[in-house]
Amino acid sequence: VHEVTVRLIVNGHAREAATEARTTLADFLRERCGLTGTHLGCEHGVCGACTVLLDGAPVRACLVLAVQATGADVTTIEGLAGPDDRLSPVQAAFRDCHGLQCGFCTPGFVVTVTAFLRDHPDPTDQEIREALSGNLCRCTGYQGIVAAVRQAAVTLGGVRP
Amino acid sequence: VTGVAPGAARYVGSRVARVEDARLLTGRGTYVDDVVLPGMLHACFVRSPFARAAVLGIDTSAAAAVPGVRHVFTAADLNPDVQEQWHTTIGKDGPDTPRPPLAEGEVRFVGDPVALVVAESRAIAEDATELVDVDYDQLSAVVDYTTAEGSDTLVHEAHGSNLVARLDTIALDAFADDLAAAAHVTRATIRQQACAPVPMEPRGLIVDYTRARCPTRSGSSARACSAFPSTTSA
Repeated sequence: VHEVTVRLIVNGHAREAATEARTTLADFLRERCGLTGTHLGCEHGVCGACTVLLDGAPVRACLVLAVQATGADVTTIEGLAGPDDRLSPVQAAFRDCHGLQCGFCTPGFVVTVTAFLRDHPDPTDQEIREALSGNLCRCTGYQGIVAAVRQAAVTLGGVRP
Repeated sequence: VTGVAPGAARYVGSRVARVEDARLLTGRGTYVDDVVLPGMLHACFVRSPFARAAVLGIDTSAAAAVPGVRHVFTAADLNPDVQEQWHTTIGKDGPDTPRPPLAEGEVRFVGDPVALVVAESRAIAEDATELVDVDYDQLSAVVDYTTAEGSDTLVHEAHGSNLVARLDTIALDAFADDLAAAAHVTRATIRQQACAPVPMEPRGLIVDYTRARCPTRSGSSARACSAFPSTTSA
């Protein structure tokens, strides 16, 4: 099978590996980079569990080929915590608001919300729900997740009094 | 809190931080698909595209010839050694409607597993499943609960009927006189949705057969997952 060399920056580190051209970015991250925090639920762009930041934009890593991401700067769930593994404001809010249970969908939600609050620091509830509409959770329910986004918006300082 | 043991009082009524959240929130959980073992192989099923069909033959030769494919199994290979686990909520006298690991002679629903490909990677296994040539003779299917009982088509021929279980909460015959004398009788058909699992709640399984490596420890270790990050080991 024809292999191509993929080079990209993942969570600040340069990564390079030869892989089949058909390999998705998600499989590349999980299998070639050992970053198994990016989860694959549906593998056709519906569930959002595999969401990563590609040059800052939230994308579904199951719908991007690794070769398409060559040269890009990728941030995964593993790259969001601060020094000493301190949870990011979004991660901490999910913990505080019971925004996760089994945790399978959580990386996709956290990455999605991280990008959303960067672009919409003071969102309305309607905007929050629309932002979450591309991610599926099958056990926790969405109320805690919505509450987590509200709390994270406050923690991040974007909410106007 | 009164009347509660001191240990319980620590938790009742108080918020308790979950110990697993930090790793789940930072991508450090361990789900079945994250586990890689030395020499691990991947399995992929060939599944029926029909709701009901006779299986006239299966040609696995092209799939078996794919580099990286270790085995291609059909019912004849696997079923004789499998003790079928049978589960029912209607008691031990429920009818035996077999659900063999791999379809024997007939498929009974879309997705019914027909063959199993084992390969060195998931991609190879999935590629090879497309090369398994199953000769189906499509048959009429039973797709409606309301007409199933009167249908000439039997899902389980040996059972002799499409009625497998009946849940009666009230013996209505006992109220026949009351119903006949009632000023008003209301009839209602209550429908409920069909349920199906989503891919985020899979039944993943990893089995590590250890007897060959470790003569003192027979058996195998298994990791399973159904929407829970913790693995089950046996």
